Amino acid sequence: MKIKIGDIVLIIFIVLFSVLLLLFLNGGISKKAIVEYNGEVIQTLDLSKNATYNYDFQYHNSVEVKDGKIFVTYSDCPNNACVKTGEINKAGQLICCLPNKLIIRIVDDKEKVDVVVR
Amino acid sequence: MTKKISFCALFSALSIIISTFELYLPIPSIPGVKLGLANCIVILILIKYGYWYAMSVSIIKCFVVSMLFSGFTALLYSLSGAFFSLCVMTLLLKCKKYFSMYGISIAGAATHNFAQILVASILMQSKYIFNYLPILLLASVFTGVVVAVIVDLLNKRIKGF
Repeated sequence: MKIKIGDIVLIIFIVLFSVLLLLFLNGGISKKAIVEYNGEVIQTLDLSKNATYNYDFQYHNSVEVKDGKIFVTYSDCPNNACVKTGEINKAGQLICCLPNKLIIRIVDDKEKVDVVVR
Repeated sequence: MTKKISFCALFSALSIIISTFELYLPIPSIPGVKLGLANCIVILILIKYGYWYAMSVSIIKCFVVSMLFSGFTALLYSLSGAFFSLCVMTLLLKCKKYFSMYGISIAGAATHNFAQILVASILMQSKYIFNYLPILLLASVFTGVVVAVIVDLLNKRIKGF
């Protein structure tokens, strides 16, 4: 079976389209973050207000909100993956401290429900 | 014409079996990425019998597979994907000068995925579903090539219908 010109055009078009989608389809910078402990939302944070928050469960997490970004400044959990994650500010991004069962998730301002995929 | 109907019934059953078999393959998946091997049958019917017979086989396959395995929502996604995919493929089949089997099957796979994502984003009221689209589209290029090769083989080997 020979490849024809239309096939090549189609493949290039699809690849370009996918790349464009990847570049432009971010969650978008959002101002609302939710904090979940053990899967349940315990707090909603406003990212436009600079503040620090502390969470003490199995371990300690110090979280700071600054200039619309949120990040974990200090944690005494064993792997410190939460601190290493750094800053997040876009909807859909999250920082988790699994030993402390804590998830900080940035949520879109306009949508109320997080997507459930079955 | 009864000969065509009988063969379509046979091929419908075959496509259902292939779909079932495909669900049990241990291929790691991003949600929604499927090989779509049953589409080989649908495309074969499209080439030999035309649009209406292929659409019938496709609809039967969607109904039975969804009823057997997933449920009504999956049926909705399946039907919309299959419908648009078949329309696009029929159109491309008329431009044989520019598109070979590869292009037709890739276009079919890509349209199928795109339509499913579209329906999913409407049903779930979320534009974030489109984040799946880039990977799905790239995967559809590969699965399209696989299906095209198989259809070509089937077309050459299966005779008499």
